[in-house]
Amino acid sequence: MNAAKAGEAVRLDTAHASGLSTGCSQANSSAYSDLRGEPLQQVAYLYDGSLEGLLCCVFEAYSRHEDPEDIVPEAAYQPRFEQSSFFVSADYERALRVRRGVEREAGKKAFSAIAYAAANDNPKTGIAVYRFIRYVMDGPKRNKRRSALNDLSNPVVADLVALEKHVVKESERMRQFVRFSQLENGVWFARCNPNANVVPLVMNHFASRFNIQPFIIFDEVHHISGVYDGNTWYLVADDVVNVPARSAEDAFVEALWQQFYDSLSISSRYNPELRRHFMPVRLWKNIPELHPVSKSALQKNA
Amino acid sequence: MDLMTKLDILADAAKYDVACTSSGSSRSAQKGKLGSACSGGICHSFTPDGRCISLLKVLYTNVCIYDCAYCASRRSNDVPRAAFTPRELADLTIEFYRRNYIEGLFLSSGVIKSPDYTTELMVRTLSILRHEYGFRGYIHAKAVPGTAPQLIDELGHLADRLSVNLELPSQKSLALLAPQKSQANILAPMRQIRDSIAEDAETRALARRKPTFYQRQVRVARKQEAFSPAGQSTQMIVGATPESDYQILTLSAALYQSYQLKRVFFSAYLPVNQDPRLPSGDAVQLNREHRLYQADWLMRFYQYRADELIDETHPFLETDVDPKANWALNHLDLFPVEVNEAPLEVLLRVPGIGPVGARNIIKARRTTTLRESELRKLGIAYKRARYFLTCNGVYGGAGVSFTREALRPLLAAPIEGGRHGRRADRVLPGQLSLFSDLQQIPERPSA
Repeated sequence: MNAAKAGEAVRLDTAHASGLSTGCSQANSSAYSDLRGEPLQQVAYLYDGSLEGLLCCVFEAYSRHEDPEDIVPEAAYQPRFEQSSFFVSADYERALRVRRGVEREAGKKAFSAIAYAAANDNPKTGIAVYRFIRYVMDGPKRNKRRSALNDLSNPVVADLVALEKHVVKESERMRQFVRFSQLENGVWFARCNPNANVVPLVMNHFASRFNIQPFIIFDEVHHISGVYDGNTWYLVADDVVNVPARSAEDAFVEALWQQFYDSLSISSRYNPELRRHFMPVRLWKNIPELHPVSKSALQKNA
Repeated sequence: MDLMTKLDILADAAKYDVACTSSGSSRSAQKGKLGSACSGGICHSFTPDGRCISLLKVLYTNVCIYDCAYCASRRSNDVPRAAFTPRELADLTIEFYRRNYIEGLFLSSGVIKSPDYTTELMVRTLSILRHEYGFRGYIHAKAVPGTAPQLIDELGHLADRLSVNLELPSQKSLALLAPQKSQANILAPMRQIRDSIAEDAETRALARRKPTFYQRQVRVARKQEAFSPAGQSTQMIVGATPESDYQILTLSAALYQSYQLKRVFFSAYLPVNQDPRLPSGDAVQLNREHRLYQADWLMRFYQYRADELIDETHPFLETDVDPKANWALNHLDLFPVEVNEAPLEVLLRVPGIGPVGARNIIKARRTTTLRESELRKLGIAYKRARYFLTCNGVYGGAGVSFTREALRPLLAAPIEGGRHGRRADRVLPGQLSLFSDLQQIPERPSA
């Protein structure tokens, strides 16, 4: 459990440090410190896609007394007509202040919902989180104190809870369907393609369960790897990974698993719709039992 | 025989065991040891028929001294036989587990030589896993009826869940199809497991209690793993013998109540053998199995009693209406209920509202008055629930008369079990005819 705790602390730091596209601001945007004076009417805040960046956008909206139209990751930004935009860089201290504020007013559960929702790829995430924080901080007293998440019929809360639920479901899918294979150098490696940035959210689970094996989980979509070195875990942002070949034994165990999967099926109950429901086709490419058994693996060990 | 062939034979023989749950046990990870178990369980894969694969489900061996009519591994069948060695199976489990293929091991077995000998082999496998490899994942083990109580005790301290198969719903059917087994023989280990679980829980509760002036701290003599912390389950075959749904549900209610089972599994009889004692047709009663599970869920999560769902005069569950909707249609005098006031147990009885939806309603109505638009956002099936609800005084099902005859077709939900395999071969009661349903058209009175 100590390893897990250490990992948590690391996560906040590295997620902040690993901002994917920091520094490349657009032509019509400038740093937030350049824009002082009247609050802007039509404005979009851009952030780096991390939770810290998003919380800093919220901080900025409060400090400038503005009500932004959009809060979006810079990569997903599509300017509206007559809209000005600027990039808010992630600042750990400011993000922490927003976190403390939310936890004071609405409890830890509300912040955890925000943290999960922020991992969603939906471009509306930013503004939904912003509106929820506004609702928690500015709304009437009865909305506060741990009951904010209960007001499920309120569109502001419903949107946030839907975004959170999506991420919770996707992280559960990763717990189910991430498949490790052993490399020649003894490290265990897994590829995955989740539709939300959930690798940071599942690392605690894997790092505690597989604490005897160093492993890497590489997210092909978000280009983030979760690395567990046998002691603690951290995140690495990189577009490609170059890993050594699989160990000789690994292909055989995989073939055994494929064999097991095939013999477990009952043909008179065949129901592919149900399987697709539980196991979305978009994830199949990284699930070995759904591919035919490789003949070479069988012959090598026969 | 190589490992690949063994796995093929022994996984194939185990596939008719329905239970594949990894839930009910929570074991946190420990530094230096492999594995953990979380109380919700994790399904790691799904077969082409949509059943989950959460555990490495295999038989230790498919050699069997018994000759049960319905079983593919019975003594008189000419099938290839195989057996693992304890080390082989433990290694295979670890290899699969480290790749995140499985949540643990589901170990069942044919009876080789004697029940005691079989259980000893299983115990040896599990103790290699637990003690030698320090494995902290989930283990489900089958207790073979007729085993010595000491061996079952040993097995229970190694496994997370034990199960004893009830096989068939009555002693009479058992005598017919599995003459070497008897209900008394099956219930004895179930009773022992129940008592051991209770004893273990009590000991732990006592040991946890803080000492007082009058009572010294209770110390456990020898620290042991918990006995079957995820409880016990059982399974029975449906459709091989003439028992009605009434008998099956009454039996499972009794098992839940007096044996504190966590689950009773039903498996629709699949014809694998030719035997004059078995039903001859090869229609698999998957729809019946589906309705039985629905009734089972109602008993476990919706606070229904078995006698509310089914009675002796109608011994089979309705095929086109699910048991919950059927209950509501038979008790229209209790509806409609006001969604802003009804307590949880009443909300749970409204068709279209499930345990999650009902709790969401209770959360949401603390701050808001729920009307139709709010209710639709709470994750309930409003389309079905509307006929049984008023939202802030407004009845949702206006336009349809509030009678059993009018509501029944609106709530009918035939089971859509997929368009493939035997499930798709629906039996039609008669040849389709364009005119048979038309009633006599009354003649127009002449002017």
